[in-house]
Amino acid sequence: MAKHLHCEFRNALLVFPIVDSVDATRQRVREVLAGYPGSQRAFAGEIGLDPTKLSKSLTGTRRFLAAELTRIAEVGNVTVNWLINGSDEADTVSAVPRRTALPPVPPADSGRYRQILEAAWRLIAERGYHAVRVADVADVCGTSAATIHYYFPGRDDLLTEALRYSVKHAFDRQVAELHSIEDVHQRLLRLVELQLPTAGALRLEWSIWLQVWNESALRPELRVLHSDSYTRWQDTIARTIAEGQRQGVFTDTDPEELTVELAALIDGLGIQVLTGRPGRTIERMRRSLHAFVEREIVRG
Amino acid sequence: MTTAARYHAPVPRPSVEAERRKQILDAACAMIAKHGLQELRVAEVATAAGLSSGTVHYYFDTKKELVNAAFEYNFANSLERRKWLRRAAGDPLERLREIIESYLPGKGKSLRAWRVWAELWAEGMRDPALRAVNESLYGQWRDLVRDTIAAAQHEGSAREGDPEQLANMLIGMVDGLAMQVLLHARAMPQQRMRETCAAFIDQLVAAKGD
Repeated sequence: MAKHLHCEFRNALLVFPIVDSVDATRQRVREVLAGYPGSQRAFAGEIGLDPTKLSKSLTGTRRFLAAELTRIAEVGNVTVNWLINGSDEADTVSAVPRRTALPPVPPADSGRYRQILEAAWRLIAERGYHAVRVADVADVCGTSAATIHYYFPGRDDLLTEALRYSVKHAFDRQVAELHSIEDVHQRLLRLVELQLPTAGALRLEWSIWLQVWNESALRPELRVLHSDSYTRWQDTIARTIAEGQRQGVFTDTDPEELTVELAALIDGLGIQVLTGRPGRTIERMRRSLHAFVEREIVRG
Repeated sequence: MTTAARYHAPVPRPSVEAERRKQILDAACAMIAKHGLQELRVAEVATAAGLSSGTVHYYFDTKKELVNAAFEYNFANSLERRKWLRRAAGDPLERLREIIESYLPGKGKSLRAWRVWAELWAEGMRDPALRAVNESLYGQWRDLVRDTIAAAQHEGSAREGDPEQLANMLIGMVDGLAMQVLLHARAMPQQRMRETCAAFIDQLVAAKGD
């Protein structure tokens, strides 16, 4: 792991595209729309954007928001990295997931695959992996167990794909939110902010992680996927810290050590929030993380 | 001869009850650690305890009751094993180091205890009753760390700062590292966790030398 992180540093050019690539992003969204089987209006509905705003964003009188780019990536089955930087593997603010940690390229009927995957992800997050049967997923999707099995031959595939789905979402979200934050201190704080288990998608992702930790403790065959996904996350922290150190904004403490501590701290504090009294809050977690960043990472 | 023996009354004597209860909870913890909470079966616990399912049901009406009691038992045991540390004299900062060291997921009992906590947390996300259990138990652990930090601050061996927040941070990091150790992450062997915790205490808690 130590070697891997150091390799990532040396290879990371951390070139941030100038923001006039907004035009290029717009063009790529148009491409996604062209490949969409429904109308522009339907597309707007699916990404949760008012049709008028969508039009404006497509013609350039309005900017797409980070959350919208994330939704577009999901509906269009592309990555935010491609939307913004033109390539899935573009070197960017967030560490590109290794091949094994990304969802498989889905078959032609990607709409159906996506629907099932999202349903499975949600059910597993909400009810717990062991309580979710293939029949439950089928019910939610209004389809048959056989169809579910077609896309997910083994029961384990539901969990492993749910994790990959979470990883992709997190990656997309990070690129979308962080790519335009030039101040590296602010970027680190934003990165931390994106880890808070707020109600909704983030909380569901946390639930998946907690379950994967436990399943991986019990079953060695799940550990590679976990390790790839977790390493990606740590790389994202590490490259942010490394950049801050290059800029002289952060202290010179061993970046790998800081990364390990910060990642573990986020995990543990997240668990506290998720398993404590309703009052054991996100706000306290935020404050503790900020205290760590200010005390241990920021220079001055 | 006692009345109980003569009439073969089914109620065992109190000390036997306590012992049986302990046997069952011990077995439940072992099964939870080994196979996970979701796969737990009362029959399996009974077998592991060398008792019948009926006997287990005598002590615990429902599986939920058994599980809750197991979590409490697990925690109470952990705290008990460290009672001597809480009362030890000397520099509280050293005591803090020893307390954290004693919590590292090593082999045997401490590893098993950690697995049980991890299962409690995952299930606790979905079960408010378990969250209440966790919060009350875990609160004691948190208080111990907080009080030790506060004592160290009082002695001047720890930096200033809200001891509750520092305790939350230290415990948070310990928990996060432990999760990786539990799943045998190659990047986080127990030794690395030990070193990271020690460094964390040095950085965040220990007073800077003059």
